[in-house]
Amino acid sequence: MPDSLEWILSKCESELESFPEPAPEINQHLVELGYAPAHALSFPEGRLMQKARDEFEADLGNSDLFPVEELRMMRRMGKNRFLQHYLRRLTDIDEGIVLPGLPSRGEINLATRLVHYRLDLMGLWEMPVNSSFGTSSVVGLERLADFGKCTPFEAINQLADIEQFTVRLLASYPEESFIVTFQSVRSSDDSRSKLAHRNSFGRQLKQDFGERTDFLKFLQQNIFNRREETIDYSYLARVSKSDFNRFLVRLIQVHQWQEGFYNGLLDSDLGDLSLKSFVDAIKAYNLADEKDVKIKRFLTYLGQDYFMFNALFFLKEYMVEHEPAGQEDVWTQLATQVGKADDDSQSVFSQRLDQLQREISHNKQPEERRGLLARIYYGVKKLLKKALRFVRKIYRWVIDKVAQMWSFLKKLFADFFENLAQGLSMFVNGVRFLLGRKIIATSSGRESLISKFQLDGDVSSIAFQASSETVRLHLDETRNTLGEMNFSLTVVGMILKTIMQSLSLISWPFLLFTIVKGFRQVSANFKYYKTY
Amino acid sequence: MATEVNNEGKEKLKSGLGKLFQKIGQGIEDAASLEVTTFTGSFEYKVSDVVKNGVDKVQIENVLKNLTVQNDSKLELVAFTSVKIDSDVSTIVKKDLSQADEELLKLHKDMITSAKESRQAFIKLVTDLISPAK
Repeated sequence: MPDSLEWILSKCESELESFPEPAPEINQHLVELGYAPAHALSFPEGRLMQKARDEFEADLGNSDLFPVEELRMMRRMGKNRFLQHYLRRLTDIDEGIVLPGLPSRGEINLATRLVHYRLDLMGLWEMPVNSSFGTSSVVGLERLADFGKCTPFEAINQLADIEQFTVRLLASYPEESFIVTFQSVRSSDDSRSKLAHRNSFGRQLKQDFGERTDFLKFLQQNIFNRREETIDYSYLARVSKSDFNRFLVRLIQVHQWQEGFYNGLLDSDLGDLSLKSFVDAIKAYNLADEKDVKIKRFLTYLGQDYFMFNALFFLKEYMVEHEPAGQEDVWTQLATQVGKADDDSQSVFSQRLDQLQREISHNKQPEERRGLLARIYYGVKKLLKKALRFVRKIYRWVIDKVAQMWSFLKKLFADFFENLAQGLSMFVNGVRFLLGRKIIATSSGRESLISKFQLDGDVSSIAFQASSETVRLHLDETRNTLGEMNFSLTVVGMILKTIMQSLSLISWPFLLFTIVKGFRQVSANFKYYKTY
Repeated sequence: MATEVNNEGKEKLKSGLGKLFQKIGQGIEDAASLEVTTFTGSFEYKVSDVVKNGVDKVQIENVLKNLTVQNDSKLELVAFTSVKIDSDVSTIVKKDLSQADEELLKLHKDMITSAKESRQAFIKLVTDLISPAK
């Protein structure tokens, strides 16, 4: 019968073993930043991917985008977690990296790749992402700046936060610019017939824009009030090919992808997958906000492959509101809900969590499709902010396995499990230290140095034929381990403090949520480990 | 059934966490003084005793255990430092240090710094625990 504390640690360790390594995400980002070709994804452990990892790591160290001490600290989380952390930050478009300046012509470095990656996401880059900064880069940036009505430098940095960039667009253009027209040659007859309700769409536009605007008069006369065969398709063809309209189509696709509703290619081609993603999004938000927004409110099929989309309504309605000041984050609020739930409900919740974890682990892998990268958006900051809007319902959705919200929950809980994996590792590490000792050993040939750290700070070292090089290596190892220990103990302290205050709520799921909460809080406060 | 399983788990959790709090309490008593000891030895061992698949803690533990029970192991004290809570520091250093011992003395000095940091991390944990929630 294992000791109860040992039981907790082994249960934590077995949870830890169930987390997959973040290799698919790392490989996807390496392709996105041009370190590896898309076809290398077929060989995740292959030479090309290995080379890409090394090249990225070297560029990261030389980039000046992150403090050296921070990089050094983050390396202690293990190579995979280190790479994942920085690749995700670089490819993040919720709260991404702000570039200190544009690269110089001819330069090819991390900043150049980041510029090309963002242009590529927005459909403004045709060349390889690893091209040097040159005329094409400037042209892409100027097009982006024209859309954003700002300088190229401002525009590329605004793509670090797509939401804010969208707000800027909404404020800079007349509202009618956001009534988007697109041609979808590959959409199915089924989608078309389900979405063929242009009269309702037109009536809704009348309510939104007022009957007397020239824009609406024109649409009523030439599109909505006509029989399908007499619709002015030349107008639709012209509008659908206009630069800003096409840019908005891409932006909408990016928004849908970012929120996990769309997992197809980012190709500015709104086919069945994209159309379905709109329907799914509306269903999810209807359930979350307890509304009954109809699909015809913002999307209609007009005939001859043409659709019209009310992006103004869609972007404004589902914009993330500012985070309410003083509100606890999603995981902290959920921790309290879990703790207060009865035993049977917690038991079902735990089973659902296991199911979510399994499904997230088997999530679709990034792959090459039609020469493009079929990718997953891994950022969750926007999602976490959105989740605050309906945090009170999340616990119930998990328990009831609500179909409309399951994709959303998978994306949301991916963040939970990532934090849990790191938090558990810190928790186990810290508690093991508190249980008595930490041994650091450095060996080289017959040379060896062993140091034993005890909880109260006592240290004993024994050296066997240790040369000055072995001593140096041992001291480096000791500093690294103490850095980790410092972090781990802070995480343990945060967790124990919460537990002390909520001992009556204690249960296994509550402990897991407390670990996530503790790890997130310490990570946010711990800019970097102690500087040696 | 689920309730029974949950209750058992909750009891174990409470008991385990209770033990952890006790352990921290014991650590507070011992943290009043700090002892750093550095030895050099010519203990015969095989590399596989210490290193297996990288570094295996259990193996190292065994080596340390063997060292304490085998009186014939030649183990020499290079330095010993005691730091009391009132900052009184006592240090004993081996006579006639060889060049290799000089390196170990440097190690010893660094280990005093590390020991202080380690204790500091523990004290911070304790103060975090007892300070009011923000």
